[in-house]
Amino acid sequence: MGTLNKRPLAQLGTIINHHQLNRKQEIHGAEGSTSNRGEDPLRLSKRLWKARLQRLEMRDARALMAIKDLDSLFSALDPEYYDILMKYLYRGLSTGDRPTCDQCLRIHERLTEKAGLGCILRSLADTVNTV
Amino acid sequence: MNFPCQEVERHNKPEVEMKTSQELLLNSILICRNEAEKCLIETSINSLRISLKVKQADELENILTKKFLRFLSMRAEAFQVLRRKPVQGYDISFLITNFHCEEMQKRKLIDFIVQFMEDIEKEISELKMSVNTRGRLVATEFLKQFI
Repeated sequence: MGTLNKRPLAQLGTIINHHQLNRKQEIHGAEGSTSNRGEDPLRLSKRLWKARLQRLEMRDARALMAIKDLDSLFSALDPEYYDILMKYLYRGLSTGDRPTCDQCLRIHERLTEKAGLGCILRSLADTVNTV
Repeated sequence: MNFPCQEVERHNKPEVEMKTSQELLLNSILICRNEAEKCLIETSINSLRISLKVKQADELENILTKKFLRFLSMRAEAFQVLRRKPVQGYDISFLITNFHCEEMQKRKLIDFIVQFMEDIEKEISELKMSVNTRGRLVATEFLKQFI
């Protein structure tokens, strides 16, 4: 108890990387950036991208369920990612699965205490960084 | 906030209903307790729509919920923030515009919605109990003549 649980943080890092990839796609388009064409995941076709997103969705749900120590998670996470975490929480709340919703509500309460009501409003208002 | 219609001059419409301009709509939130109970919150620049789906365990609750909420929806003018017709897939909807926020206190509006959500299940359970009680009494009286 009290020690930093690295595994869920790593998984949350996956969520954040996934978000960054989404953001790159919106900025550069589905064709991808010309500077690093060889390794750019944006060159995947739309069908493959959708399959990848579905796999990531399942991973996100598992990542959310694995989060145990919220204080260490919030202290390790940059404040700019609180809004993204909030969006993922709302996504988890829309699933309807009871354990997922319970966990999401627990994290939502703590995140609202930490980040304030502005975090909820930003997750509603931000149509650029979608999850 | 007050945001007149971009399409038609001198008109002021709730953008969450019209959905004419995508840039005026914000992200919607769906919160599900389970498959049967959910709450959809749709937001826009000048209005907000909250739709609720109430738990209905059996056919009787289904009928009672439908009748009761239809009764309320028909008197939507008295409630001001109630929508006459619920959004498809939901049992009841509220439409809150910037004018409502100006005339009424926001905290009281929130309290009203929360209280409504808390009381609706209680009301429907009471209705169900009263229907069952009356049914039992009527059946008992009717069958007494055959004893």
